[in-house]
Amino acid sequence: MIRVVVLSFLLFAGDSFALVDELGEFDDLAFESLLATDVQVTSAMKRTQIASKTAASVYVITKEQIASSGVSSVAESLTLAPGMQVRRIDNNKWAIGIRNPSGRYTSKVLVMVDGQSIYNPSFSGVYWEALNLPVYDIERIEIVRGQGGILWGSNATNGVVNIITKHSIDTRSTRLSASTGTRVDHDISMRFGGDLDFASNTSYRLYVNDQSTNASDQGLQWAARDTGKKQSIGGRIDIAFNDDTSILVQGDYTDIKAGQTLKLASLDTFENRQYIGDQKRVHKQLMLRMDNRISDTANQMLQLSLSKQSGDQPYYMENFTHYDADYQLNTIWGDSQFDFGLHYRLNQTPFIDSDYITSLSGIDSLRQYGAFFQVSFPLIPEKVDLILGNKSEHNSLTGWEHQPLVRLAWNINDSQFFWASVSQGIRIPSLAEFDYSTRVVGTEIGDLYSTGLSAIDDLRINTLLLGSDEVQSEKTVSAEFGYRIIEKNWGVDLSLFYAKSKNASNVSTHIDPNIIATFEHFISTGNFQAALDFIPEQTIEINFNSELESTSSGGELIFNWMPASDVKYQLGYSHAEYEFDGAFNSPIDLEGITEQIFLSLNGALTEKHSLHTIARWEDGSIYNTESYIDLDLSWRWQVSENTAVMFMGNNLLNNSQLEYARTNEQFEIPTYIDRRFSISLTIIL
Amino acid sequence: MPSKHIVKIFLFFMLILFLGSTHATQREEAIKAGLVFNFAVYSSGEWFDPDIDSHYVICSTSKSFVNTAQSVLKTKKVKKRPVQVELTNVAPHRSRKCHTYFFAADAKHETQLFKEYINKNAMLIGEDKDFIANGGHINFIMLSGKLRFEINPDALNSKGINISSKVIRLGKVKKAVTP
Repeated sequence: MIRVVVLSFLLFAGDSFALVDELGEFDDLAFESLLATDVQVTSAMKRTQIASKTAASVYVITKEQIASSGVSSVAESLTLAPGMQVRRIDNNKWAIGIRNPSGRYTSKVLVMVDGQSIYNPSFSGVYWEALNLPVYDIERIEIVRGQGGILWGSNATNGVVNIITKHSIDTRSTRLSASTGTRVDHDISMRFGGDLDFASNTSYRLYVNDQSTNASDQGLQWAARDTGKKQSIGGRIDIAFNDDTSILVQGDYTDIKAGQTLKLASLDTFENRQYIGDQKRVHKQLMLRMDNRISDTANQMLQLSLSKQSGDQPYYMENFTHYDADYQLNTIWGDSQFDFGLHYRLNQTPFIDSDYITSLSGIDSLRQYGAFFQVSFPLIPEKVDLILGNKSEHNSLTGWEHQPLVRLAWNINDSQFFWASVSQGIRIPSLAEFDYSTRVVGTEIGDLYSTGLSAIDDLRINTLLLGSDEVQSEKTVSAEFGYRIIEKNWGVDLSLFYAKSKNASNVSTHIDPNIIATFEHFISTGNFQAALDFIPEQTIEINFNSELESTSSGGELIFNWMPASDVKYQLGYSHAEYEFDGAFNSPIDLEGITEQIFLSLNGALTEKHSLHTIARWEDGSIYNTESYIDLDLSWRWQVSENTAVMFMGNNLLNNSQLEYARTNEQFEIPTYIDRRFSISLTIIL
Repeated sequence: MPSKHIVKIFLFFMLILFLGSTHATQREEAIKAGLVFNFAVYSSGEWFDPDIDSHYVICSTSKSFVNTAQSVLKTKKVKKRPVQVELTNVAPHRSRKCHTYFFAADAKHETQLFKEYINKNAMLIGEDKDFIANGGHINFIMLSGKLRFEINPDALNSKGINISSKVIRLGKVKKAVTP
């Protein structure tokens, strides 16, 4: 007979009316929603929870939202979440952040696929363009705004994006889809799945995808060359040996070739030069997870994963391999919950020197290991819960780091919920900050010593951005508050945060005084040729430090309204401010504000036609762009039981818009994002 | 040393693990109740006639399931008839007509009851690995932390219940064991 672990039982302790409300995620008892509902761990607290009763700022993008919006990539899916900073750098690359200004190399958001981290330690960020999971096989995307580091790991000081794919038993069909449009040459996918006979309950799926996209019409500085080609293949097998033990095996292979225009320093003159060269990446993921229910009040999970990321850029080549092992135990004891976990990660990061990036100390591997625990117990039964936890982790670069957490959850009544938390998050320095020497655009002589002769003043000195093994982890202490109202057909979700960071990354320029003195001597004695010969042999160093202190504050307000069961409005407003003490000279962080107004409408026009609209007003000041409104609209026509056609329009209010123009932090030159139209056909057999 | 602390924490949790007490399965029962309701909604046939039956009646011997299902389904209707959830452990000829009978995990001793219901026009739902083999119609299983179900459409048809192809597609089709 089935025995069911209810690790989340305490979350539903209360009267039966509360239970019904708690099950609001499927309060219409939709069949597929019930089947998709997790009993076991995942989610923000690493155990099953209802988002509305979670003591953190959580937003869940559902598979229904993904399907009705017509988004075609994981990165694009994140535009469905209010408050997310999602900007296109060009047609391939993205700048995505949570509660911090997004950047190509944002390193404060942890991104995982089914619990497997996909970050790249060279910049502790994510190559979004290489994350080519089929969005139709995504069950949901959980977004935790704020510090989720205690449970998930380091580098989650500003948030976590956890992508959870569908169980293969839910994809036992053949699915064919094809789309084309003004920016998409073709995007063809096929997935097939079914049952396997070698165990009592075994299912599988395989998918293959091929896509080719066109370049933008206009680049920021030079002609746009952001064409894209991607091929992916992957699959998953789920084996349930019995009600208590199951195994998941999944793997993916993605090969991408992305056109781009780079801004690189000339190796002769150190001036900015246009460089045309494709980015090529190959990503391979393999993961094995075993879930086991020990008793009615405890289960455990062991996950082993392997990830290989190789990249070939004109300025940088990498061939990284990551091994992860995670163990997690969830229990209930009396009225309390206990969670405990261990993890070990080995990053093999053999470095291949290029003309632009070299390794200073030859670091070719990084190890991280540690443990977390979390205790949740009632202060006032069925009213107020206190959650205490800590994650301690050792890493090869900065040693032991600790991330304690205190959370309070207050069920005011059936429809109101208040939460608060104080926590410390850690961002481990990336290899770029710790070990790499990066050649950047040269420093103009005129900035150091002006001769009044432009032919000389405009010359540049070789300039290197140097990592340092004295850089420390950035520590962020964050206080967060939240209040929710959950009524039958409307709700409000308010989150506020205030965070102070120390050891934030900054840079300082070191100029050998002999350079200026010698140069001045040559000029003053009229020996211009000696000056011209002297300049190319010199180097100016810009050193990474961790001396900045910063303050960030802000919040998100989301209003949901469902006037009918098949019509949903969502209005969101988010605002955040980022300030640094003293002179701001960070190559990673940005100073200023981010602001967004978000409006979405998702509704059924008729039984066969539905409409999905999102409008986002985005403040552009921190990204050196104009503010803009991005209007996306999709219309889905269910032609028959097995066939659907979708028409999509993106960025409908503008011919094109610049979404990201901070070119000092990256080599890539952004492009103007064009208005786009596309059509897709989906057949399920 | 941090590693010593980790070991202590681990031992502490192992201790409480084995001291853990059993809790009710309210959330899962709510999900099961929702699925039981959906099986009825997506079915048609003679076993339930809204022109004759004033309610759609779901029966079970499990008190906790009945309590949860009564809450979850209190406003729900099947073919415009309100859903009624009843606690019963008596044979069909001595009870009100049950359109669906749910044999909960703790009802293994109800073998005789199952044998009596198997000859009636009722949708029989269970949660035992041999439930379909023994003649049941739909059986809940747990896969990777989610509730799923096995289904025998032929057995349902034999009781005048035509269940939607959508439901069959979402379940795992199994057959009864022929003696």
